[in-house]
This record gives sequence, structure tokens and C-alpha cells, in this order.
Amino acid sequence: MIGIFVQPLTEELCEVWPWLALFDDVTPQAELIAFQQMIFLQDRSILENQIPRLLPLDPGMEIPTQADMTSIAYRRWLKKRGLTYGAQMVAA
Amino acid sequence: MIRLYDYVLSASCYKVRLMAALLGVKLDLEAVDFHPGRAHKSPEFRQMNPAGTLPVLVADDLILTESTAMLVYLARSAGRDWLGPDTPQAMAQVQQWLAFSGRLAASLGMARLHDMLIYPGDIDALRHDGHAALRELEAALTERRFAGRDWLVGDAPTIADIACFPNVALSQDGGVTLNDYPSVRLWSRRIRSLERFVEMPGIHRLHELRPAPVAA
Repeated sequence: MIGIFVQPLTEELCEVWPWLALFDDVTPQAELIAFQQMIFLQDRSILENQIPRLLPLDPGMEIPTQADMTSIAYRRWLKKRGLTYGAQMVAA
Repeated sequence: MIRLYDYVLSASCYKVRLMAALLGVKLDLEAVDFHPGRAHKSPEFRQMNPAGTLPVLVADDLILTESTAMLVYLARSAGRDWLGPDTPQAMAQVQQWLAFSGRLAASLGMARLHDMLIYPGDIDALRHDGHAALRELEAALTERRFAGRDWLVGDAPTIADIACFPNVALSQDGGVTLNDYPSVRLWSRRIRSLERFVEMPGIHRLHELRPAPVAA
């Protein structure tokens, strides 16, 4: 199981704590940590280069694909509840 | 087999991994829990490297603890191609850039560790020193371009280029942008388009598969 705890500090800045719980008695701890940090840093490059920085709740010009279903559902849920912290109503 | 005690996010470790990849040499990588475990400061690790730093390279009874020395070892084991021309001037220039790479690590590298792994340090001073080093590199590379040369020393990439590349390419992680250094960016593109180039988090391969731009 792999997860992250995310604590928003401002609308555009988060502190993130990744964690993992595995059944693996073979791989050394240091290798697991290195792997997790490598993946995390690869994702970070993509996240930090995201434009716009605020999450658009209106799909606008986006062309969603099947893989975006979770994100679309999440954004609809946010919009329905009027949760706009770190998000924007205007389309991207 | 050459064993490298390694940390995936370390610029110095990447320097050695990159050199080995470019030479087609296989390393036996041993992950060390640098962060958050600080395993490189443990008594067991210090028995091998009293300075408690990464990377450490072990080849039979040879133990190296300085990444630039590892570049020399790997490059020379594979021949002479990556050592630059065999002249007094060129050899001295390569040594000069290897030492200069230490300044990049002490400025850009420490700014990155400050921002990424919460290392202590005067971040403004580190970034200032980083820019000062980048200006020197930019000036040198621009002079080289005027002379029709693509690399720091000689007519081909050398250990000097590989030594300086990682901390420059990762400078944004420490809040230092390369926007003002066009020659540095061209040089970085050339390195990233070398055959057998490998990536690390924060340093990506070129998306285009065409050759790097030649010197203007």
C-alpha cells in the first residue's frame, strides 16, 4: 500500500508526506526509500510545472480521456460543494 | 565489478552513474538511506569513508570517496577518449573544471539540499554564489562557442563536462534559474543528447531525438 498525506500551506503550496507499507522481506530498506523518492521527485517535476496552478473546476478547453475519470469526478464533487480553496471556477 | 554506494537524488552520485552509462560500464549500485536515515553518517559507513559522504566507489581494493576521482578512474579504465587532449594545457584545464565542479556543489548543490532536504544554510548566499559560478561557466562556454567549440575542453565531451553538468542541470531545485545563461543551456542540451545518456529525477532526456545544436 502506498499513500501520501497532503497538507495545504497556501492555495499554491503543499507539504506532502509519502508513506508505504509492503510485504517485502527481500529488498533492503534503503532501496525501497530510494525508489519511493525517485518516483516522488519525478511526479514533483510534473506537478510544479502544472499550468494553471489553481485547479480548474470547469473543464473548458480540456479534452478529458478515460484516464481522467477520477479527476473529473473529484472536481465535480468539489464544485457541487462550492469548495474553491486552491481551485478556480474559470476554465483553463 | 565496480560497486557504487549510491543515493538516487544526489547530484554527485548521478555524476558517476552518468559517466558509467556513457562509457557503457555497468555499476553494482548499493542504495544508502541518505535521507531521512542519514546512513552515510553511521559508524559502519564511516569505516569505509571517514568523511561520511556519498558516493563511494569500490573496485577491488581501491576505495574512492571523491566523485571527480571516480570520473577519472572510470574514464581512464575505458581508454583516453573522455580525458581530453594529452597536452599540458588541456590536462590542466580538465583539472581546473573538476575543481570548479566542487564550487558548483558547494553553492548550487547546497542550495538544492537546503530547499529539497531541509539542510541548514544561508540560502541567499548559496544562490548568490551559485549565480557567480554560473556566470563564470556561461562566459567560458560562450568563448568556446565563439571559437567554434561545443565542450569545455578540446573537441569532444570530457570528464570536465560530466563533472560540472549535474549541479547545473539541477539548479532549479535550489531556486536558481538558468534563464540568463543561454550558452549553459545549449551545453546542457548537448550533454543530454549524448548517446547512452541516462536521466535522474529533475534531469530529463531531450524529447526530440535530433542532434544537439552545433556551436554558432
